[in-house]
Amino acid sequence: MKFVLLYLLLLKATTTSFGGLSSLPVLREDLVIRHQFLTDRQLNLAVTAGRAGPGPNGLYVVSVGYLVAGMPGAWLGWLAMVTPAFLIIPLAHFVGARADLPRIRGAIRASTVASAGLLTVTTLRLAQGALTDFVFVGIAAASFLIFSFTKIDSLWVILVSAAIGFVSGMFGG
Amino acid sequence: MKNELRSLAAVFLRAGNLTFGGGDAITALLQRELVHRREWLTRDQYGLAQSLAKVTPGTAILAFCAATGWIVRRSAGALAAVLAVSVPSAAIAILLTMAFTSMSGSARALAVLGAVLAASVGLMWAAAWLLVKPELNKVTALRTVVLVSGVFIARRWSISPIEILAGAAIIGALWPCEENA
Repeated sequence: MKFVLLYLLLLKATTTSFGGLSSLPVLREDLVIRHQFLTDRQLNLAVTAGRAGPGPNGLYVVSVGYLVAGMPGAWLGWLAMVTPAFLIIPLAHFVGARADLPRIRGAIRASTVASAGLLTVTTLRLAQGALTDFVFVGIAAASFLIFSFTKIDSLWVILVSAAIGFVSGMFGG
Repeated sequence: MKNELRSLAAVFLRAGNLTFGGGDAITALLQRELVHRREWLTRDQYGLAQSLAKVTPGTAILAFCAATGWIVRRSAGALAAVLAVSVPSAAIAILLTMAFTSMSGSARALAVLGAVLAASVGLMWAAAWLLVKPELNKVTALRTVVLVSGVFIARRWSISPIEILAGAAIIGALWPCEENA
């Protein structure tokens, strides 16, 4: 029963969002707040793991599934991630021509902006648990600037952050 | 035909699993392979797949791969493309999750994990900024400010994300903000 519920919650998040991380607020609402299957820290960890490797940005859903229910959960996360992709085939058949209508495009663009707002609100809450000292605040700020304004690969940012954490851990501990 | 499907899967396997940087990096590699090198897609077909991927729910790059695979080899092509792009990278994501989870034993490992999570917070803020940035032009800036402010207020009132997204879609449909509308 938990597996069915998990799949439906993950699918709800992926089918109601446009773009890799925009499903995060819906996932947090369902898995962290409502059902408490996951903590904020685990959700943050899943985003990191999904982004540290190659592939689509939405991969964090697989990590979320794994953290909630092990390998079966990871499989369900993958299924929830890929399921909406196939909606594009009937879309290409029937509504492709309408995708350029101003009202349809307006609805999509407005919900994308709302996703960004929701993502900001969610991240502010995750930041409260993650940014516990000045080093971490500095890393988050640098990471924001690098991802926003440069094309530097995310892997390098994660590796350099890990190295800074290692060095600060040596001096701190 | 079998060889063509295998070649198609190989292109998507390489694009999805050897490319860091998410959807943009994968799309750039696929454009080079599918349109310019192999000529399996015309530029118009590529453009259509890209536009439709943006209006399909979920991870846009996966929808894009399903569409381009479908144009080249219909259902088998769509399935091969999505599987090739997502399965190996999902396995890597699981291994990374296991590695990060097992790091909770020592103080030094916790410091490394904390730093990586802090970088992830910055990444999520950047993701939000990059979604909003194109909507801050002269035509759509006011709607963007109204929507983002509305989201903050709605969350304070504990309105669920789904209701907020539905409300935003209705506002967008009623207030399209098109340059030529």
